[in-house]
This record gives sequence, structure tokens and C-alpha cells, in this order.
Amino acid sequence: MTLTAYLIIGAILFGISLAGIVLNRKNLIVLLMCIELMLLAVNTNFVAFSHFLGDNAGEVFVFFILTVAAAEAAIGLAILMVLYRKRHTINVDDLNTLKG
Amino acid sequence: MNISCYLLIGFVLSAILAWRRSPITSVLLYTYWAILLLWSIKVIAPFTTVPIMWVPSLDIQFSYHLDGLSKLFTALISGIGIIVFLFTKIYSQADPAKYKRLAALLQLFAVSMLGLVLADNLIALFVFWELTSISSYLLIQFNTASHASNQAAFNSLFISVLGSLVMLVGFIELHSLFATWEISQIMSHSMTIGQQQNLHLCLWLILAGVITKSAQFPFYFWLTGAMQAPAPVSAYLHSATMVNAGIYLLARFHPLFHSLELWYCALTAIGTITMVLASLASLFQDDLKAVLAYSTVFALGAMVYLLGGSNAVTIEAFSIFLVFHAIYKAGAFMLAGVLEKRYHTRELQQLAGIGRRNWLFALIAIVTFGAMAGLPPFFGFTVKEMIFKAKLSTDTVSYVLMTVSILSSMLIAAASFRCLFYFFKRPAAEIKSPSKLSLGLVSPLILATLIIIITLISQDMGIIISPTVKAILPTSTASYLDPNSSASYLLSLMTVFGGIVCLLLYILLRKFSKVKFGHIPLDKYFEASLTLVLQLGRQLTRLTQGQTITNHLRIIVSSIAVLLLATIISGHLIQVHAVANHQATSNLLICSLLIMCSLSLLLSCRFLYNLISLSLLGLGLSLFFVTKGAVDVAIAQLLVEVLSVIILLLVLRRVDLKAVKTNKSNRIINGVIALLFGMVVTELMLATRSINVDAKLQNYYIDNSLLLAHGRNIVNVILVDFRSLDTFAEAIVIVATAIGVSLLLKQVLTTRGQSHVDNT
Amino acid sequence: MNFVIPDVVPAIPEIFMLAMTCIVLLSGLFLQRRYPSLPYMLSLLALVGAVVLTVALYKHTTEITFHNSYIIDHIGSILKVTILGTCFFVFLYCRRYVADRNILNTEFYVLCLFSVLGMMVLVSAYSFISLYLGLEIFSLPLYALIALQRDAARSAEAAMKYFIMGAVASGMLLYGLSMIYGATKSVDIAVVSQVLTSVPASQNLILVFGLVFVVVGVAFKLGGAPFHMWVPDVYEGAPSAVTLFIATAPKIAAFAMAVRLLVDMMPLYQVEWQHMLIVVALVSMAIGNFVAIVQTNLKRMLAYSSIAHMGYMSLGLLSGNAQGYSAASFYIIVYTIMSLGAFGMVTILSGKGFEMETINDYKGLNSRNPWLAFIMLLLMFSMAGVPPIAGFFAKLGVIESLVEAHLVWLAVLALVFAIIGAYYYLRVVKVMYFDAPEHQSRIDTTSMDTRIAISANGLFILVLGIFPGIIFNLCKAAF
Repeated sequence: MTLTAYLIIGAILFGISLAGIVLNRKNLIVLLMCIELMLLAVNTNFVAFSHFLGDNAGEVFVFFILTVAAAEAAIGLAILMVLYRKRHTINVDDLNTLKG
Repeated sequence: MNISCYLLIGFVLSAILAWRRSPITSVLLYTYWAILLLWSIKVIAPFTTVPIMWVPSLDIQFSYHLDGLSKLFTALISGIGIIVFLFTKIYSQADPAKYKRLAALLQLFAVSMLGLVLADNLIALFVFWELTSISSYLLIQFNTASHASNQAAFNSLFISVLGSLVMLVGFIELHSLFATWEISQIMSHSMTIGQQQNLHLCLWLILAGVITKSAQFPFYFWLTGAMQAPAPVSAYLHSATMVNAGIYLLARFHPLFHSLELWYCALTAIGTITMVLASLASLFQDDLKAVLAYSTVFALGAMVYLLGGSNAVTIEAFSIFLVFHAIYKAGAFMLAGVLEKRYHTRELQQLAGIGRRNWLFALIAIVTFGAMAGLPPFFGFTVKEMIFKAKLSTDTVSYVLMTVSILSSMLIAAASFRCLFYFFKRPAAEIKSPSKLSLGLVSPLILATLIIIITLISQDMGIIISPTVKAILPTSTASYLDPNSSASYLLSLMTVFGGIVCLLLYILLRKFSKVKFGHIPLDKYFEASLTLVLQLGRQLTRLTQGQTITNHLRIIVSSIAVLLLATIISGHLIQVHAVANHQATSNLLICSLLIMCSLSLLLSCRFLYNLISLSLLGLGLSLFFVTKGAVDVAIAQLLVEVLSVIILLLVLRRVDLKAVKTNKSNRIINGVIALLFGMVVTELMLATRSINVDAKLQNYYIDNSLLLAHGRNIVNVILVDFRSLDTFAEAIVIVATAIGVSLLLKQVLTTRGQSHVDNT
Repeated sequence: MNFVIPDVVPAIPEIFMLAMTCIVLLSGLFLQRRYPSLPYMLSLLALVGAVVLTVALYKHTTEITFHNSYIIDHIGSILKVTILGTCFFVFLYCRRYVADRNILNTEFYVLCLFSVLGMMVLVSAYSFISLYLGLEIFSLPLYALIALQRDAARSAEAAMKYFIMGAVASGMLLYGLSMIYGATKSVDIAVVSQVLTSVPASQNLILVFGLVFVVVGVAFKLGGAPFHMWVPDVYEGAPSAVTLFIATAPKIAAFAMAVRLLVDMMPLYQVEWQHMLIVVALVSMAIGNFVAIVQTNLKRMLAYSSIAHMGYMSLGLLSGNAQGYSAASFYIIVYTIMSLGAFGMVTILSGKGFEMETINDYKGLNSRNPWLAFIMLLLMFSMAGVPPIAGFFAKLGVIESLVEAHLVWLAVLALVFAIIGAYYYLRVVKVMYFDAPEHQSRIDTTSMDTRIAISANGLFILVLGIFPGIIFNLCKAAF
């Protein structure tokens, strides 16, 4: 497979995650998953570039992104728990009490 | 003493005035201004003008430009200032607290105005300019309880700040042209052609500041609104000094701009329109202060008109008119203030017969209003004469302009005759009031005396104003000219008689109709446009605020897509024709089929139709592959299509189709977003081709991990040795996250505990 | 070839901060029972120490260390000192607020300190990896901080919104960075900028795409429109103390990110990012000012005003000359100090059980506490850009650099928007001075130290207006 193929996969993953973010209005967890997917697209890009350009830095970067993504997800889920405790809903469209 | 220190003392004095009232502060105040007055007329010279650096990195300093023009303004500010302070003291005798505030604010204003006319540095000038606007705001809404004065104050502030900010851009443009903030250096600079071009822009921007501050059309409504202010304020700020700031700036920049065609055209046009409208409106006012306000606007228009010209006679007429107008108008406003204080009204009808009761008042009224009308024995007549002479002396005498300005002078004369007429009319009913001689007449009396003195020494006025003329027109050699030329003399006489005729016409007109001419409700338009802005704000708020997060994300994604597309289009990054070349007619057919399918997929709300369009889309795609010669891909595509349709149909049996609600507008928005993003991803894929892959993976880490870091596990070595700092940072991320998460979860657990307690 | 131990001297302030943060955490765990205010004192000490160390390193020559991934330079030091100083004042202002509202004391300070540490790393980061890590160290504690208040469902919602937007922003930024990496084969900013000198923009679509995503990520973090939606919601929903923190120091960090990624890394692509920033600046100024007019909640109004201010700041960046960069950094510093004061005021006036959030709460503040009203007046005037207060010089510098870059139309537009902005700042002043108060009681929620702090804050704005050279020269020397 060529670099272009990997990059296209990356672009498609990114597109899917954006579509998920934009279209999903029911479930916050799906939103969090889409954000993870976005980072996955980034990782694909980095690994592909790293491999085909012959530079290690990209792969190293992926290590870090993976861990940080996990931390981010942890925070996100914790906030979700708090929100659920207080609102008893995880519907995206219910996040609308702050409107001035 | 450095003049910067003197200004600073002025500001301190203002604070002292606000703090307490005592004879010492009054003495200080009068001494302060007396020294300035004496300095400006060259009796004493106590000041040094060494510039003081303010912001060295921006070349902003307090430097001073002292020539005839600024000296003349200093004389006006300090001379009339002393009289106004005197008047203020008498005016607000009854209420010491009010006096303290009024005097402090007036002092603040006067010092700012002084800084304005003395400053050589454009930024310093701008700062003083804004200070005058702010102090004017505070003075207009001095009577905070009144809604009208609040509104008027707001209007005046808004208008003048708007203008001044545009003017600031003009100053900055000047700075970028001449690389200096100093007016004196800008003036002495020689210009290239390119700079000439840019000067037009500067002029436009600076004019915005001038016409707002000096109450020219279409912004003069703030000045008529500003009559809500107490009388000393009207006499000082809104006739003699602050409104002249714009005029001062025009005069200051006269040498730089006067060679431009635009200068003459713009100033003449603005001045004429303002003159005509204001003089017409002035005749039809019943409020004494409004009459005076409109006549001030007229005078300002006349000054702008005169500054448009660039020969010595015009500039001389301008300078004399400036001084004389300040004196008589301040006197007239003080008279109006005294009347208002005493009789609690400003309506002309109710003031009928005032002049018959008090001979001193009658005298002052005749002198000031006579000067305003340009009655023959007073210097006002001579001034009018000079103005007409100046207008006649321009190289291209436009008879239309000439007629218009004579007509407006007649109207102003008529307006002041009308005031006098009311003052000496037999009153309809006896006015109940104390007939005691008012102490407040002292200040207008001084001014009236000044008018008479000027009239007596009118031949020597040339000595007083020649430095000013020299400052505005450095090349002029002509000295003060005797105005007695036959044509202008005749015109001035004509104005006086024309004024009487106009007044008679007005009285006749008033008999039949109540129409007020010349009054354009500009303030209403202004307030309406402000409301419009508020409305716009509300609409925007409704649009952007309180949306769901999904809509926010939609806006974000589409703006990203737009940004991406815009960069592609603006950079001509993709040659569209190169892609289009490959398209044969058969491809076009298939493409149109695909587009139709996707459109119907987007627009149709029925699930079954969607399914059909989807499978048609797949079919079209496989056809496309066939024409490209990729038969194997086409077969795979077909298989996938068939399979997915079967699976979907199987699922459909279990789904209640009615429950799947769709919203058409939502679909269209989604469609647009999808289209944008599809285009972007396509471009992206095309873009990835431009990357050239050159090297194989370098085994730097593999080769070096054992050698340099003595580790066999490469991942460990990378993390701990080569990227130790980043790993460290990552550890921090994890720790911080752990703390955060633990806190949040603790909170969740405790609230659960609490809710249990609540339930039991 | 030997393994060279990197020069750790440039990172000493960060190392100190980290050590102190751990000490604060431990003191909170073991000693808080006996000395309740120990964590607070230690946190202040940490900030002061870090400021001293950073200032001591100011004379240090520009140096890149840790394998090309860390830089020390003048602008970095200036921004770090501002961040630390801001955080110092934040702690002073919100001590009482935090204590009153049962927010976990130690943890609040620890999370803030972690966030500050992240900002410092971000300011000094000179490779994508350290930059990303710095960004996350500073963002993640903030997400948690917002949700820390026990009793408000609003804060949880604000936290969720902030989290989603922030995570999407870092995703975008990373995606952009991955493209730049692909085009230049390096993650080190120094190397990338070197490679870019030989790659013209018109031939490299992927680079330009990467740039778009980077600009979007930066605009997100700055809170510029049209990526601003989280700003008003988060500012309103978060507890005032947290809003105070979010509205100040992170702006500087985001600005530093913009400087590193755009100015340091892609100076040759200035034309491309200039166009994008013009869009961001214009939309920000329009939305910020127009929407702020109709707000009734002061925190929300200030949120929109911050959007507008970010628009003005980016005017300096986009003018693309050294003058513009220094004007932008002066602007962001002045803005941070102003917004520190304004949100600080909201925080210190809020007492136990009530918030001073709506503009109506400020009615007649002058008669309830004239000195605080005067300070607020200074802050509002400065935000409106009234001369001669610091806000005026900030705007002046930015406008001057625009004119220098021949963008006079943009300058005039910016000032017209500024007039609209002045309207709502003056409304607050009017409410404070000319309206009758709803409660007659004197405000006594402030303690001595907060009063001194807020006075210093307000007067500093005034002093900075009279002598703007103090900071302006530093900014000018940095570019």
C-alpha cells in the first residue's frame, strides 16, 4: 500500500468522526467516542508519514497521543458521570440550560 | 517652568476645586488662567517648552507647538475661561456642592482644551481631544436626574468619540507617511507623489473627527441637544472653545492639505450646507438657547467654509470671526443663563418685555445680539464685511455660493432681531419676578464692554491676529487690510436690511402656519440607527446563543470547510481543468446519475426511497469503475451493494418506520455540510499525491538505543532517554488527570450519599 | 558520539513549579488539619518563587535545549511571568470564594498549579510533542476544575461543553500538525521553519491544509469567533473563581501557542494565515461586540467582550510585522490584567450564598462602596479603550501596525466596532454610578488583602496607561 492510501484512511476516519460529532444529538458517549476516533485518524497519519518518510519522531508522537487520549477520555467520562448525577440524562441536546 | 508641569498643575487644581471651596482656591484658579492669558498675549514669558517623553518606544511625547494659532486659542480659553469661572460662581451661588463639581469639571475641561491646542504630538493631541469629549459628556449630563440631559450627553459623547477614533486612524496614517508624530515635522516635510495620493485618505479620516467635534452637518444635532447643560457650560464649551477644536485642527492642518482639490471642495460643501440649515432652523426656534445653539452651528459652518479658501484675506476674516464670535456668543449664552435662572424659562414668548425692565440688561442684549446680527456700529458689521470680502476675493467667485451665504447671514440676522424684538416687546401680562439687578450680569457686561472696545480699536485688530494668519498661511505677506471696499460694504448693509425683511416675512408666515423650516430630526435618525444596532445585536444573539452543542459543532465544521475551500480557491492550488480533462461524455452521464441519486437521498423523507437511491448510487459507482477499466473493483462494489440492501431489508422488518422522524431543513443543512466536507476530503486526497516519498525508515533509535542509552527495549529507551522531557510531561498529565478524575468521582459518590440521605 | 545530557537550566522554573505543586499536594494531604491555610500559602510561595526564577533567567540568551524541543527566549519569559503573576492574583481573589463554597481547598490550588505548569511548558515548547503535552497539561485540570462545585448542575454542563470543544480543538490541531509533519518530515519547530524556507506555499496543498487546521486550533483555544461558542457558556456556568482563572492565564498560553506555531514556525506563510486571521478577527469583533450589548449577565458580557478582544489582538498578529507582534503581545498582557480585575471584582464581591453576576447587581455600587466602584470604572474604561488608560495604548499599537501593513480599512472597521464595544462598558459604569442600588447595605465581603490586590490591579492599569513603556519596551525587544 502506498502512503496515499494510508492518508486516505486517515482522512476518512477524520471525516467519519466529524460527521459523528455533527450528526449525533442523542448520546454524549458517542460524542466522546467520535473525539477518540479523531485522535485515531491523527495517529494513522503520523504513523503513515513516519513510516514512509523515514523519520521516527512521528511514531514517538503516537505513543504520547495514545496516553494523553486515554487521560482525556478518563476526564471526559468523569465529567459525564457528574453530569448524569445532576441531570439524569446524557442526551446531547439537553445541554442547553446556559443561554444567558 | 515647563509647560507640561503647568498643565499638570491645572489638573491638580481641578481635583482641589472638587475637594473644597475656599477663597484660596479661587485665587489660585484666577491666577492660573491670568498667567496663561498674559503669556498668550506676550506680556510675560514664564514657560519653557522642552518636550517630555511619554512613551519612548512609540515616540509619543509631550511636545508643544507654539505659534500664533495656538496662542490665539490659548488667549480665548484663558480669557473667556476667567469670565466663565466668575459667572459660574455667581450662577450657582445657592448651591455650593454643585458649584464645586461644576467648577472642577470646567477646570478639567479647560486644561484638556489647553493641552489640545498646545500639543504638537498627534497622540498627545488625541488624548487631550478625548479628555475634552469626556468632560463635555460629564458637563452636559450635569443634571443627572433629567432623562433628556442623559440622552443628550450620551449622543454627544458617542458622536464625538466615533469621529475621533476615525480621526485617530488618520493620524496613524499620517505617521506611517511621514514617520513622525510631530505636527511641526509633518508640516516641514517635503512630499512625494505617492504621499500626495495617501494624503487624500488622511484628509477624509481627519475630516470625520472635525465634523463631529465641530458640529457640522449631519452631526450638529448633538450641539443643539447639549443645551441641556448649565449656562456656564454652554457659554464656555459649546460656543467659545470646545466646538472650535475641530476648527483648530483644520486651521492647524491647513498648510498641509490646502493644495488638495478635495480640501476646498469638501470644506466648502460641508460649510455651506451647515450654514444654510442652521440659519434656517435658528429663525424658527422658540427656545432662546436653541436659537443661540443653531446660530453657533451657523458660525462654525461659516468658519469651515472660510478655511476652505487659501488666500490671506480669507484667513484673516476667519481669525477675526473666530475671536469675535467666541466673545459675543459667550455673552449671549450668559444672558440666556441669567434669564433662565431668574424667570425659570427659556421660551422667547414668555420673556417678552424683559428689556424694558432693566436698562443694564437692555444694553448688554443690544450689544451682544447686535454683534451677532452684524448691526452697523459694532464690529460685527465689520466682520461680516470682511467675510464677504473674503468670499469675493477667491479666484473663482461662485455666485450661487455667494447668494446662499448672504441668504443665511440674513436669516441669522433675522433670528437675532427676533430675540431683540421679544426683549423689547410690550409684555402681554405682567411678569412676577424680583426686579433686583442681577449680579449675574457682571460677566456678560464684561464681554459686552469687550465688544465695544474691539469696535473702537477695530483698526488695530490686525496686530492681534496677524501672528495667527502667519501660522495658518506661512507664505502670506499681506497685512491687515482695511475692509472698506464698496462691494462688501454694500453686501453687509444688504444683510442687515435683508434680516429685517426676513423677520417681517417670518412674522407673516407665522400668522398662517406653524410649520418649522430647517429642522431636520437628525437626533431621531441617530437614535433610530442606534436602536437598529441593538436590534442587530439581539438578532445575532438569538442566532448564536442558546443553540445546542450540535449546532455549535455544525457551525464550526462548516467554517473549517469554508476556510479550507477558501484557501484552495484563493491560492489556485488545484488545477481544475487538469482533472476535468479526463471526463468523457459517458462519465458525465454516470456522474449526473450519481448526483441525482445523492440529491434524492438527501431530500426524500421516506426510508424506502432512500434505500432505493442508495442502492442506485452504488450501482452508478460500479458503472463508473467499469468505464475506468477496473472490473474487479466494480464487481466487489456490486456485491457489497447487494449484500447491504439485503441486510437493510432484513433489519427493516423489525423497525417501525413511522418512528423514524426526519426534518427537511435539518437535512438540507446536513447536506450542505456533507457536501462541503466531501469536497474538502477529496481535495485532501488529491493533495496527498503531492508528497514525495524519498527515504526508507531510518533506524536511528534501533541503531543507537543500545549504543547511547544502554537499553535493549527500544520503546523504553525512546520514552525514558530520547524523549525524557516529554515523558515527564506525560507523567504530569496522568497525575493531574488522576487527581481531577478522583475529585469528580468523589463528588459523584458524595452526592449519591446525600441524595440517599435526602430520600430517607 | 556520546549521549549529551541536555542543559536543564532553562527549565528550572518549571522544575521548581512541579516540585512545589507536589509539596502543596502533600501538605494538603498530611498537614491541612493542623494548618488549614498552609496549601494556600505554599501555592503563593510557589508562584513567587517561579516568578523570581523566570526573571533571573530573563538575561539568558535564546537557547533551544532538550533535543530541539524546548526554548528559552524573551517573549517566553515575559509571557511566563504574566501567567504566574496572574495566577498569584487569582489565588488572592478567590481564597474566600473557594472557602465559602466548600470547593475542595487543596485540590483547587493543586489543579490550578498543574494548569499553570502546563501553560509554562506550552510557552516554552519548541516541538510539536512538547507543545501538545503542554496544551493537555493545562487543559485537563481546567475541565475538572469547572465541574468541582458540588451543587450546581450548570457547572457540570459548562465542564462538558468545555471538554467537548477543547478536545475537538486539540484533535483539529493535531490533525494539522500531522500534515505539517508529513510535509516537512520533522516535529521540531526550528527544523520545520528551516525546511519551509525552501517550500513555497503555492506548491504544497497539504501544508496549507495543515495550516488551516492549526489556525483553527489556535482560534479555538483563544476563543475567537466562529470557534467561540464555548466561551460564554463556560464563563457563565463555571464558578466565578474558576471563570476568573479560565478567562485570564489560558489566553496568554494560547497566544504563546499562536506565536510559536504561526510566527516562529511559518513566517513565510504569513500571507496564507493572514487571510484566515482576518476572517477570525472580523467575525470575532462583530459577534463579540454586537452580542455583548444585549447581555444582562456580567460574566457573559465579559465573555463576549473577551471574544472581541481576541479579535483585536489577532489584528496585531495578522499585520505580520515585528511591530504587530509586539503590539499583539502588549495587547494580550494588558487584556489579561484587565480581565483579571473585572472577573476578580465579580469573585470578591460574591459573598456566601450570593453571586454578583448580573449587571443589575452592580446598581449603585458607587454608593455601596465608592472605591471598588472607582476601580471597576478604571477597568471598564480601559477595556473600552479610553485614553490615557492602558487599554487605549493596546488598541493604538494594534491599529498602528495595521496601518503599517496597509490594512487601513480593517483599522477603521475595528474602531467602529470599538465604539459599539464602548457602549456596553459604559453601561456598566452608568449602572454603578447613576442607578439607585437595590440593596442599601455596604459591601463588606472583601477582606483587606483582596482589597489591596484589586486596588493594585486597577491602579496598575492606570499606571500602565500613563507609562505604557514599562511593558511595551519589553514586548518590543522580544521580537
